Amino acid sequence: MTPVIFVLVILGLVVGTVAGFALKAPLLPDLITEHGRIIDQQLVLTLYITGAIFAIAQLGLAYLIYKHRHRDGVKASYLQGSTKLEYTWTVATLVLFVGLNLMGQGVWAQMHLNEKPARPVNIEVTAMQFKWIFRYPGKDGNLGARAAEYINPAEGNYVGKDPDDANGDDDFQLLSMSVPYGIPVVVDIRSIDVLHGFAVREMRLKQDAVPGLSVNIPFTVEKDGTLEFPLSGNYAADLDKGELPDALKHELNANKLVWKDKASLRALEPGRVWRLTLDPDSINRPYLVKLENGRLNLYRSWYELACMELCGYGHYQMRSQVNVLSPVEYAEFVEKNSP
Amino acid sequence: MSSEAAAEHAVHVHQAPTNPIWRYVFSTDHKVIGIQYWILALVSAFVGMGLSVWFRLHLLNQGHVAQLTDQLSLLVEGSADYNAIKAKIDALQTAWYHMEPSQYLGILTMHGTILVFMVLTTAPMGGFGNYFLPIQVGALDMAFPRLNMLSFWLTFLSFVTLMAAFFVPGGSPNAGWTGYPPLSAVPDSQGNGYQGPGGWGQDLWVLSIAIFCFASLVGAINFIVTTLDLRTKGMTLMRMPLTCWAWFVTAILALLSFAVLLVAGLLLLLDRNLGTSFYVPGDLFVSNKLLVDHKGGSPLLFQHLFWFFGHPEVYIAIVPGMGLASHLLSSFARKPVFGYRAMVYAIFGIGVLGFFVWGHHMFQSGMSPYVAVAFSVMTMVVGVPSAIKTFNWLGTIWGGNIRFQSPMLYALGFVSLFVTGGIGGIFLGQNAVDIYFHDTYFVVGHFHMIMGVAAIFGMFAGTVYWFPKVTGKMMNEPLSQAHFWCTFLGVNVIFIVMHLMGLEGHPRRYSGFAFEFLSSDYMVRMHTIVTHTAIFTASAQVLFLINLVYSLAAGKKAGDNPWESTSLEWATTSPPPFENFKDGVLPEVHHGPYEYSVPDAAKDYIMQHDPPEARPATAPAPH
Amino acid sequence: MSEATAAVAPAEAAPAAAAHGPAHAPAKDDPWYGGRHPFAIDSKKFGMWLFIASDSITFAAILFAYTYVRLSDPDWPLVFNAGSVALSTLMTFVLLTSSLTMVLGVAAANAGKRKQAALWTFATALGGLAFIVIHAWEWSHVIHGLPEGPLPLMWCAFFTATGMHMLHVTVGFFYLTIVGLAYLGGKFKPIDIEVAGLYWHFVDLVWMFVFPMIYLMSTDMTKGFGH
Repeated sequence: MTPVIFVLVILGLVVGTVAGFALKAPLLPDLITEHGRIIDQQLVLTLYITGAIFAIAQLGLAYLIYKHRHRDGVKASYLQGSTKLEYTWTVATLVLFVGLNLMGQGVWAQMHLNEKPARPVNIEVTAMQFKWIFRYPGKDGNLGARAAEYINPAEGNYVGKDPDDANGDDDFQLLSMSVPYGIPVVVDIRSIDVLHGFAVREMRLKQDAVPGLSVNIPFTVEKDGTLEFPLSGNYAADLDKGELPDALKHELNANKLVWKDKASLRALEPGRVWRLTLDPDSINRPYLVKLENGRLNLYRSWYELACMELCGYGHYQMRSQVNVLSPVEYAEFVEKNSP
Repeated sequence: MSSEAAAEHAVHVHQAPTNPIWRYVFSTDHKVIGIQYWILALVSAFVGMGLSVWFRLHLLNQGHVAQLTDQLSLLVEGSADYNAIKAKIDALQTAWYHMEPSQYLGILTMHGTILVFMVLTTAPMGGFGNYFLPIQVGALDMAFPRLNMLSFWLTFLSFVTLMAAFFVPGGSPNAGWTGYPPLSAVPDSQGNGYQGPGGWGQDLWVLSIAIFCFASLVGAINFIVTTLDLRTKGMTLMRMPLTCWAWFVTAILALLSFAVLLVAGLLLLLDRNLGTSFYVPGDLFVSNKLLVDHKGGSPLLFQHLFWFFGHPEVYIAIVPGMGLASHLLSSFARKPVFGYRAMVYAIFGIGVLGFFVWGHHMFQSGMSPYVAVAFSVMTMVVGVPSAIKTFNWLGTIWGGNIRFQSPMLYALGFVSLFVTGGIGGIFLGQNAVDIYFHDTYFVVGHFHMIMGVAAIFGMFAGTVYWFPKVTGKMMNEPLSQAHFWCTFLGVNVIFIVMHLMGLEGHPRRYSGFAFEFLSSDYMVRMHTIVTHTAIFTASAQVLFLINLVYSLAAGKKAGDNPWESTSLEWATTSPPPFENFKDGVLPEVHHGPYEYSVPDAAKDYIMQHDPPEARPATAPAPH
Repeated sequence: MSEATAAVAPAEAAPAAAAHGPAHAPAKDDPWYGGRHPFAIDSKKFGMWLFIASDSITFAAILFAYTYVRLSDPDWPLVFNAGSVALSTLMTFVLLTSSLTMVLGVAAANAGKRKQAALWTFATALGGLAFIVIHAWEWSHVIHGLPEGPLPLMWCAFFTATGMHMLHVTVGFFYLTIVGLAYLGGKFKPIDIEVAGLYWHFVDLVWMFVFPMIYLMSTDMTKGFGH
């Protein structure tokens, strides 16, 4: 009886686990960066390989448990090993494991080892308990110098911006991050108190923010948004006028997309692409509405930024967000915010 | 000194003290010390598990709070619906198991520290190793019995120090079991608005770990010397049971790795209390002011030192389980271990390579990305001996005649959990894939699976297997089996679901869910499954307790060798006499440790101390 | 640790083992009784070697920490002058001399000259004491000269590394004194002197890393002998 139960439990374990991974839809959160595609490929490849190893090993165990269960009169074989078999699986696992690992080194090099892209958008990310501060270089493209001695909480200058550096005159800082798509961005990740971790799921980006250290990570966002859901009605005409029809509001609400204050709407490409921003005054969640193949689709273009390294009691609420803008919008964004 | 004098001295030393305090409390008898370690680990395991159930309840609660808060944000303040939901939230936030964020981190830190140090490190080595290493190699006691006693009482002191951290002003430390500075090094760095004085708990935590380092050092020396110096006649290295090999390698790991943890802790203590700056860089802006009394240090230095210990520590927890699994699979499949030598080399391979992979905990830490590549490749290499062991376990039961008694169930469960947990390592060991998984629940699921429950299944296996030897009574078989099935099912559900949550990017160590993607229906459903299963699994441990008490009181009487195993502990009575073997006469070893089903032999198994003739000349040569 | 060897046959009995036949129940006077010495090394001596292995890792970790913080600072200060080098050379000389007296002590103990061995051991302990006294004087001197503000990393490393070493010398002083007295009183054996010697040589060896890494590499000889 026991071997049968064991076989059934292992079968359940294998089926359950494989199903848990296979049925999880989507397997991973939306993907918006270029390098993220390679990470996902590597991850999915690893998932296939390890899934196979998992199933074979567990089912093999179940098979052996059943086949060689105790039966009266049966004597176990006096098998002490097989050098040939052992060499085979040693070499095979070595090649498989190391080979798999080396396949992932390209994307690591792209993120960490290769030369940083020329003329990127530079954004300085400062982590502190329990918020993120993003400093943008303004129109001149250069960030002003910084030093701890200039830190001044009264003026909100946590970054330590040098007031005498002319480069910093048009710098501006915000509590959320806006990046253009299609243009290389380099974030300079740092912390002014304890360890923090910069992480955006959809960007497949993670880097600890370490006090005393500044880590530059390049990335390129390759999508202006990720599909949230298709809109059923045809609201194109209303959207062009800058009005949010009630029917659309209801439809958004029905899809659990809700907001409190108000929404702002403008046409990025009249008749084709509109920017819909929910709660522009407080939370500021930008979406896109696009007319594609005769249908309207709603795209999300904001993503949550989490802290991944234990940083104190407020660790769990150290939240910010990344907004993806078109290059034109980004230029406007810089223009609007530069002092 | 003549050999006669030595023998006389030996007998003199090995007379049981008559005073119960010297016999059972401050005892130098390795068997008593083993039981003391085992009890300490059992108590710690229940404390640690209780803490985890507590914060699982809290987390489930927070999932509901987050969802209700989402609803609340849509409603008009003061409306009837609004007030109803608000009342619900308030009720959840005042539940008895609700925790404040810093309290949550404190409980989390203590859970990790207690389980890693007081359970996973003490039970397999200090508990089973102390009791059975000397008997299995055929010795009267450990090489240094008084140091052995010192080692236990230092561990106990460390345990008391750690527990004291619960009760000091400011509560338990909240920098995680890894205690990363600057959070752990700068008392002021708890963040603006932090309630409570803080500080003391963290100091006690470091102190407890430093004491633990000494205890482990002393224990490790004892184990290594005992293994190499005190083997009985005929017990060559290649005739040692794999359990002894595992304890031997574990002791080497402990000897070399705790020395570094000691330094990591020492420097942390100096940084906290004496104004040094090893881990604290200058210009920190904490508690709304610039910190002026530190400058120049590096938080990454601590991470290097900590993980230089931390990775071997993983093997300290799991390697004894591997040894025991090999031992039991062979014994209950009535078959020699498949590839005994390969198993020995694999254990050594894991031990040696384990010292060169610590950087895989630091891929995203800001460490040089070139170094990360090297660590990543080394990590995949250390997977190879683990894979060899798995293949050889399957090879061991292949062609066997498996007896499904409870020790075997736990051993088979160990193999299954080891496979499942090990596979997560193939993701995390790749620096590229780790970018996504680092510090998510995937990591939590992975390490709980492999160094947590797999190692604990090794302890369950050891307990049921050796209980008859230690107490002279059998454990209740139906109760053991019921406990096995509940626990095996439970832990699989809990930790595989955590892998799935990691796939969704759920961060570790979050005491609440201020994020949209964390309060999604999917996440809350997953949290519900984990919490409910955790309560179920924790309750199932009561079966184990009942079994212990019941068997101790009314268990069936065990013979000297109830499992028909071959190693030397089964050559003596149950329980063994004070001097381990009858009249202190050590058995002489003539056979390998896994001589089961030898062709043409009179019996199903040949014990290690059976006379040479027990093994027929016609049988194939041993490995 | 005196009970350590009690349970095992003495090393000199090991060769006899080879001639011993395969008796199943060895008599109590059998050289196999109570185990054997596979590597023909005394358990206490082996234990001390293992302790040294572990302790050298501890010191290696401290020196690693020192190297790590030093390499990450491009402007590492050279805090010592010729005067400090002269003093630390004197300390080195004292410590190395105590190693020599230790060797003489071990040799005398192995030759059975109990009194002479004890005297050499006490001389070694005195050497250690002299080292501690000079070192403590140097420490107080350094502490008085410390700059205002946060403790510079150089001094953090200096106090930690030399403090840890001084702790070992202090333990060694008491260890040697006790072993010497007990040996003189007939309670301990020559092997105990030898094991203590192992420890003492190790402590000296550690100094041979601390001295160049902490002192010599942080010295600016042009600063002369002043304070």
